[in-house]
Amino acid sequence: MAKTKFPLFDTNAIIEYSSIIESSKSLSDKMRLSMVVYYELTATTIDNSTLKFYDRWLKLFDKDGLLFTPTMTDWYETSKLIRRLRFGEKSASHGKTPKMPNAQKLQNDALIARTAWTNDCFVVTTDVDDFEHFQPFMKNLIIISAEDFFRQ
Amino acid sequence: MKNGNGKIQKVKTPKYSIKDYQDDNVVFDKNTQARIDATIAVMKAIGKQKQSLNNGKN
Repeated sequence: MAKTKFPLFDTNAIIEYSSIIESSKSLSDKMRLSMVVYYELTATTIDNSTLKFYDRWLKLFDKDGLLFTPTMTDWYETSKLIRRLRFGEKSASHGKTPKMPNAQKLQNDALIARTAWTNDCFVVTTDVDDFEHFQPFMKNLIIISAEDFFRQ
Repeated sequence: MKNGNGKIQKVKTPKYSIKDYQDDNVVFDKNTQARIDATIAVMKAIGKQKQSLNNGKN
């Protein structure tokens, strides 16, 4: 089967499987980057000595059009999605979903999922359960467990 | 999706794996190689940081 979609790793998948990504040039070529993931990595995991690597990484992904930054529409649609999850509103494909009073905590994951969904990518994550909440609202959103994806 | 008999067919979610994205024979152009090298540098930095955090715990 021809693979037409590209992996977009969430932050924890990158942190947990960095050594495997590092060892595969073709995977490093095919992976796509979400600005939300970049933000989370930069804000939480680096010290000053490694900042220059992140700067270069960002610029080169952006130059090649492989860095996906949520647009105004992405933010708007994501805010509606989170609202629907909070209040357990109906989705087109799954009917009524259970209420999630803390759904706003999933804001970044929802933005990552949306940028994957709108850019021919699938999400590789260590938190499949969190991302599955979005599937009723993003038809054909593909979520792959990082453990399954990286199994050699 | 309905099949020819009018029965509902479950559409299987494609399974993707790292194996689908590994090809050691690919030659990359200069720009792509630079992006790959930048990715590898960041992954190494993350690995080092993880290592130092783990050492700190021990």
